[in-house]
Amino acid sequence: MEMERDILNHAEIEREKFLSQQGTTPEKVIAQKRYQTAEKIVELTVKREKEIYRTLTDKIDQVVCHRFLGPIILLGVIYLFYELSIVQGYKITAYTWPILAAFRDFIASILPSPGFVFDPLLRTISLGVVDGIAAVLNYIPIFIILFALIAIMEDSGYMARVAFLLDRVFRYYGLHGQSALPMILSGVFVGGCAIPGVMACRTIKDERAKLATILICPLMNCLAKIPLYILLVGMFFSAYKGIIMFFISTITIIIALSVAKILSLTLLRKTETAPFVLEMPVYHLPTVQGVLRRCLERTWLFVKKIITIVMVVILIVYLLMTFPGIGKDRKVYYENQTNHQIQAFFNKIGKDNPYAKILEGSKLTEFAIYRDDYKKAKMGAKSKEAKRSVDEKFSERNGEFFKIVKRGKYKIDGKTVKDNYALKVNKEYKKLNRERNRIKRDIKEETIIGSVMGRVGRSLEPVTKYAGFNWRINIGLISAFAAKENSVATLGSIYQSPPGEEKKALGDRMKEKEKDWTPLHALAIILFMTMYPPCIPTLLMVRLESGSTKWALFATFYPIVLGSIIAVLVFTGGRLLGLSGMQAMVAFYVFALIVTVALGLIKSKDVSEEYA
Amino acid sequence: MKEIIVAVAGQPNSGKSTIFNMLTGARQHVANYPGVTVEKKIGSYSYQGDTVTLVDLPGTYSLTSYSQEERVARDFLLHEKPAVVLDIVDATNLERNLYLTFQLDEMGIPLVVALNMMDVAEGRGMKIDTYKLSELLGATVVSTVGKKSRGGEKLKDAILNTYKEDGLQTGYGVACMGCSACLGMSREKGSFRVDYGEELESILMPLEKRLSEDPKISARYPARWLAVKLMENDSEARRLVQKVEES
Repeated sequence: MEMERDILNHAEIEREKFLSQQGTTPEKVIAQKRYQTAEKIVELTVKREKEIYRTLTDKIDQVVCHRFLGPIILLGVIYLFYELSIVQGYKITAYTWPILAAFRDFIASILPSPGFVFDPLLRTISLGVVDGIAAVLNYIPIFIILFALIAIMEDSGYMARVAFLLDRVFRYYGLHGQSALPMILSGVFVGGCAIPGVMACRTIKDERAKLATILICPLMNCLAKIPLYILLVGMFFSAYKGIIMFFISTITIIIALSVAKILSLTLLRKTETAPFVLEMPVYHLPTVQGVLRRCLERTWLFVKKIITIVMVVILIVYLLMTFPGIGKDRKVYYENQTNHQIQAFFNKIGKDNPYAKILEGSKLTEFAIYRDDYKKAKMGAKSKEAKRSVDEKFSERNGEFFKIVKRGKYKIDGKTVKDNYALKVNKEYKKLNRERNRIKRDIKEETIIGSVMGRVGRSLEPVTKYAGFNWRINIGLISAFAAKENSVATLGSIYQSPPGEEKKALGDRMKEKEKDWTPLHALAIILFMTMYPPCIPTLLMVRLESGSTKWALFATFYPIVLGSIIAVLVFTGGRLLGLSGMQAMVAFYVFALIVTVALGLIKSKDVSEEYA
Repeated sequence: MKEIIVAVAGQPNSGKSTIFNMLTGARQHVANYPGVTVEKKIGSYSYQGDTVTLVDLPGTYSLTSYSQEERVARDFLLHEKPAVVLDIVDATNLERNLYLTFQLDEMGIPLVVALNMMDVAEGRGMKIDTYKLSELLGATVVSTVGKKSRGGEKLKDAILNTYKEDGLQTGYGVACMGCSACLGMSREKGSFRVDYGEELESILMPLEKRLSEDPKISARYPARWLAVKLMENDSEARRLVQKVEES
């Protein structure tokens, strides 16, 4: 059909004609006429009985949007936000966690029971997934507070003022005034969480700024990155703790601003931007109902969507870190080791010990589970009352086992007896259990090293050595992919203290094994961690908020590339120049700062002001 | 029992969600608009035997295609063709809010205007002649105070009436009060137009005519709206015409 093309051509010609004749665009005239018509209608329909020149809103704005007072108030609000949602929210999780733990225990109880050293696969995997989900659900109190606070800020009209105040700086970096809140929540001051951060990007109307903000949120310092910082700072920078923590928290903002600018100049260049309509709505008092409704709605949406996807993704990562598992002969080797230890245990307690029969064969595994459960229950019981009820429960579950875990001190008909056989078994079992745990740890370590992820870590060593990472660090960093908390836990299992020796702090154990490490090594690892790709729940959130898998994948890979470049730059560069850790840190800081300021000066086009 | 789809539009901070909640109460759920991350709130109520389903459009200042929200709102009105559009207007900020009202009106869907936050407006010494406003806009105007749940029944009534009248094609026709200025605007219900000035109208009118004469286009999109959008050089509007051509 030619007709439609004709119409388009016709419209095009008429538009051109209008442009040349009137010297202005039709859209400007259209907007103008609409405003004029609105003005006329208001003139005809609205009568102002008394002119109230300065409304309450104006008075508040005089303070809140004040050149100097405004930013100070904003800082206060940001602090309050952070304090109420992240800090207080975490405190609430202390009360909600037992609920999740009870749920986990329930799942654990219906799964096949654990073995002495080898747990059934179904159990390991199921619990891995349950733990992953519980870790995400644990954030719910934080989300509820957060969403409520955001709703209050939106409904009251303060959000628009925040955007106004920060837009002046942020616009130089392709961001928007509203980008501030997501960045704060993600952890501008060390310790946030990128999940609510990315989620808060919803309020940004400008597509380009929204995407840029979503993509830089994971660069902020979330709570889970902190343990590794603390470990490495304690090892190599213990004299400069304050300085280096300041460095970590500010360098991330500096780099994030640069990243945002580069993204908006390149990949996001074609993303549409909204003309910046700065509107200052009148302050309203938010209604309790409105705030509650919005906050619960958003929380529910989160729970529904995240949980279903998280389950699948965690499962996959878990499998990648478990399979193919240790070989058959290695399994036999560990089984032999275990049997050897068990044999030694029975030899020590002696044949005449009446408990030897009780613990024979599969009974030993049963006892191991019983003892683990008992220890756990005792740990959870705080009051004397609770402790007594735990004792009662376990003595009912198995009276003979109970005698052993009580170290031979128990009551018969109200009389306390001392059972030396039970005491002996208790002591010897303690030793056996230590060995059992060691073997379990060894199996776990070997599994990780031999797994798909572990192999990747080893094969990367020739490349990562330029950043100063050996395969052990590689595995630690790779394991952090599922959740960053893992990094220290994995390192902990890689750098174990040899059996029999006194337990040392992880930092000391690492120093012992990596004698050639310098602060430069630590700095490179820290910087890589600051740029670490988002954890899986965050990635899913990125996918959800950006609306495309493409961006979620990008959010995974660009931090790896960026982090590697920075780590190599600092490590290899620092080494070539013969810089110490602190010198390299200062040099890199200055470099990053110059780059960021320079980028801020580049003008990005199409900051359109058509509607202004 | 019919299901009447009503789109709820309004600028940010116009009290759209309080009106939405007032009308639907707890009967609502949240989804996402397909393919985007914009929340879509849907609620319903029964009124005089009819079920009215409200769809909350994102709060926008305008209906261009600059932001995802604006596009979502626009696409919904264009493609889902709701029976009525309920436009929530902040009475204290009438002038700016009308900017969106005009654009909604251009989309050719029967309009009901909720003049919200009337109490605040009155508190500021503003007196709004709703009858006159209704006459000028050619749409029913209802004063509401969403926060105090005032005006809900009247709004439901207005929505149903507007729906029925439009369905029956009776033509409402508010009687001319003989006012001094009519702004050259017709007072027939649903035939309000912004006068874009002689120079532009001399282009818009023939273009609109051509668009309405194309059966494929006029069956899908309001001609006046499309004409204005084409003159605004709106890429989405051009795409829509091209798409019609391809089909």
